[in-house]
Amino acid sequence: MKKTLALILALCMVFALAACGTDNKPVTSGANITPSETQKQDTPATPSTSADLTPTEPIADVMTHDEYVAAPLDSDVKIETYVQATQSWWDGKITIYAQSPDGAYFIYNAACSEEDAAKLVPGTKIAVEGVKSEWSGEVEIVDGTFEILDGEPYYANPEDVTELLGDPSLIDHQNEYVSFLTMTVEPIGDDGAAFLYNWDGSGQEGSDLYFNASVNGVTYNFTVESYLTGSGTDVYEAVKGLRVGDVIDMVGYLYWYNGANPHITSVTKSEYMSHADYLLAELDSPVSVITYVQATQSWWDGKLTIYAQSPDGAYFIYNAACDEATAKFLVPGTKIAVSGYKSEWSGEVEIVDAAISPFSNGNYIAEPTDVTALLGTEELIAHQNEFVSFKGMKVEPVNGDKAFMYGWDGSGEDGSDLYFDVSVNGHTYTFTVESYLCGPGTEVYEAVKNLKVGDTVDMEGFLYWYEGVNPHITSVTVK
Amino acid sequence: MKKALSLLIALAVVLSLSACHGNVSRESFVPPEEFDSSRHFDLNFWAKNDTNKYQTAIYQKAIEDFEALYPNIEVNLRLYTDYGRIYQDVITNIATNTTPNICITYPDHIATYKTGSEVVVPLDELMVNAKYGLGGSEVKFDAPTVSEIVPQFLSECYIDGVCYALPFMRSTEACYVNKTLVEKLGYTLPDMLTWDFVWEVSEKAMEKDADGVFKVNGQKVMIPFIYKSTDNMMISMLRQKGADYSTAAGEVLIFNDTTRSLLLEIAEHAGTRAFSTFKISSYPGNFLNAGQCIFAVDSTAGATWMGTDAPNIDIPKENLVDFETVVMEIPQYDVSHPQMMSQGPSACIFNKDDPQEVLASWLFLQYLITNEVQIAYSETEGYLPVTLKAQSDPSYVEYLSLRGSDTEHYYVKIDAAKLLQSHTANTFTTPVFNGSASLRDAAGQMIEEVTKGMRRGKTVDDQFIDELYADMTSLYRLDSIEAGQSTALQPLPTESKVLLGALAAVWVGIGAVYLIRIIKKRENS
Repeated sequence: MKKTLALILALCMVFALAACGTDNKPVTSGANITPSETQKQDTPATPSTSADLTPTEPIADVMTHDEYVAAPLDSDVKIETYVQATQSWWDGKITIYAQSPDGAYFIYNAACSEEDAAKLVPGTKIAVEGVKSEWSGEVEIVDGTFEILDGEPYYANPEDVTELLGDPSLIDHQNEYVSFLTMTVEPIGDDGAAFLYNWDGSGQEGSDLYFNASVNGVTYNFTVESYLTGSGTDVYEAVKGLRVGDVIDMVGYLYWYNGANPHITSVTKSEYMSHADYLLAELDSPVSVITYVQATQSWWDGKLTIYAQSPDGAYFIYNAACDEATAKFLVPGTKIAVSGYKSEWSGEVEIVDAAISPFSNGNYIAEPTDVTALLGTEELIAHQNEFVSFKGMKVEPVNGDKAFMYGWDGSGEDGSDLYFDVSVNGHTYTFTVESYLCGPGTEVYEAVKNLKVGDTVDMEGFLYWYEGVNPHITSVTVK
Repeated sequence: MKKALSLLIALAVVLSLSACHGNVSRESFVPPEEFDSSRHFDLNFWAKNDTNKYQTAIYQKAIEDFEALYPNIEVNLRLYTDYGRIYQDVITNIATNTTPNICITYPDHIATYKTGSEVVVPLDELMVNAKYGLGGSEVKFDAPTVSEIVPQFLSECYIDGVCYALPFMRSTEACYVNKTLVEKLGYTLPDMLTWDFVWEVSEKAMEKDADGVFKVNGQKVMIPFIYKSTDNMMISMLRQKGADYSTAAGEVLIFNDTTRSLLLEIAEHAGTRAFSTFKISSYPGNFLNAGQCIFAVDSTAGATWMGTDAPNIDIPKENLVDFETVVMEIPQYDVSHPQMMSQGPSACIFNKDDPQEVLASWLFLQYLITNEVQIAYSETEGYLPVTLKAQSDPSYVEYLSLRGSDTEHYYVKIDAAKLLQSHTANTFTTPVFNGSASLRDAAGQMIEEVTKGMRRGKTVDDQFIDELYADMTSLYRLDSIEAGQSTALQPLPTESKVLLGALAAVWVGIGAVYLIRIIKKRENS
């Protein structure tokens, strides 16, 4: 009875607490956004049949992938795996990209008749015997032979390893079928091209293609291996059509050559655009970008305003729908996907009506660009919304002899936006400490309150626009 | 064990009851016989200004002057620039009994505040209190009497027949017209604008030359018609059409065929880009002053930002153009019966445990509608004092007469105030109920959505409107507004009913166990 009573009591308390606060909460209109990257990234490029696999008893001396990894170089190995792709057969040999549910293999130049080569379609189960070897970092089976086995086919799903680029753990995925998502095409070669025929541009149509793509501000090199996917294949033609700044999704095999050197088998334009494309997009058109949070204004009423920047440009995301929990997750550096509409409001180009999805990985913090010399020039607007710095500016009097004002005309009080004038080269500009970005108690807010007319200051902030340049300052240092 | 169990039960009961903190309960305010001038009172006054330093100064001077009259009362000013933030903060503080004492606000918001029991102080008795009421014998300043408050404005402060606020300042919307461009397009301004005229001229202004430059202003930018407050726009259009919006009791009626036809009409002009809104494009005044807008609808309280010679300018000087500004009524469907919004802040006082503190709050609220405060504040913008006493004061009459003589008497500002003064009888407000603020938001958002939709190449048709109606109902929870009960206490939610039922069962169980044990004990003994 006591237990029952206690249970009822506990239930009462739970009900009591659950009932609390349902009626008098202010209504908010923001959509609930749950941090998620999985929905996009888990979408398989090819349907998986792994669930249909019928486990087969390994033959006595067949190694698991772990045993293969543990085997010393130059030792005999025997594995069973599944063909994922092959390079073109030539001279009684074939190179196979293979993968099992527990790991991947690169089988280099296995002995193979042309007739058997035709049977090595993706998914085919094979037994391979050979010697474990390493060539410029690529661990592979050489001098191998294979036997085609009966069994359900297996197609590997590409695993997104974008955020592992540059990380030592990437090598754990060597030879696997992988994807790289929302990367930005970077220039390659002396002419800043989007791709090269051969690594140094010495090739021609039909040669391997080399191109660069970046993420998190770091650039990596990718290859379209012509023996795997040559001229005329979709990926070959797609890479030839790339432009610097394109944002792309890629799929391929994590080949190694003195470091990661993926053999890309698919390149598609990402649903997300580069900053260059964003600038070209018409006002009121839908835009989607991948970028990185640099700062946020205070969350309110289901909305969040974000200062964001990528290595190729910056964005101002106004009043994005965002629940409070997600807002707390969006610390500087956080990678986010943003979909909304491009808009302009008093000269400020921004993304409105935006939905944001944070990634769990990814980090980029922009370094400030010194734009002091650009003040008063038409070039300045090219840096709109970027994190910038201003050096050696002089504090000018406002509202009589004051160094700053609460509100644009001094109508505010502590907690209001701060406005102050600074000059350089004989021209005076009005800068703002936006209280929703840096409110009372922040270093910059207090620093501006302590400014004196005549002080020389260095500043950093975001190059906001309101009927002209109106930087939102985040740090002030008196020299 | 039994003691522990009893303690647990008591705790559960306490927790159960304290969990329902949403509706704060407090004793009704009863005015004290005498104001205790021997005690010190700290009052918190939450106010809103239009980011206008003169308004801030007037608040501060009002506080200084009031404190000089009542040295035992100290008023702490907290300034906001956004009514929405005041509303949210008040809501938050109701739950913790930390509301301000006096608050500038809108009746729509008060309707929500007063869902808590005795949160907002009813003013009916206070206003007529012989000693401390409006113009009462013990009031230390020259306060207006009830009959000296503009009846139209005072009536807006009644909710369910009870007065919960005093009007503080009143404005309406005006259409600030670039007469120069209207005439350049070959039109003559009528005595009163009609919607047809505004749409026609706006479409005409969209003509471009071969280089994509607008013929009327020789610029690459032209948005002929910009409306600042789209909720007011929709509400005014419906009112002028005699169409439904809501009942006084809170029944939502806005999703009707007239609204649909208005949205389709607006969409047509949004599609040509002849029409836009503040939320989408920015301040109407900025475009007006740059010669990029012909009809800029904004509050009369924004008059100092309108026109070539406006005292407040928000765009680079090199972008200013010369033109003649005319202040007109908002466009009408029936010029013989013009209708326009009455808007502007009111002020309420919040109940406290100490009636003396509430009385002190009331005295300060009363001070806010004295001539000194009313005239000074109204002259900062195109506001109109809320009392006939102030409007007829010689200093205010002289102020109006000096139209255009200098910056302080900027003609657009004074024309804006006169617009409301001459049309007070043509103003209206919408019914106030718990949820009316959400309905207002939805009214405006529908215009924003069709405008954005057209700009973004969507098809705005009946299907779009149907979906919009459903979205607005859901987003603003308009289907949860209960007509007729909106400002009273809400019925218990299901969870609470279950909880109370469970508690009753627990007590019955405890009683039964106790009884059985007594019986067993007696049997054993």
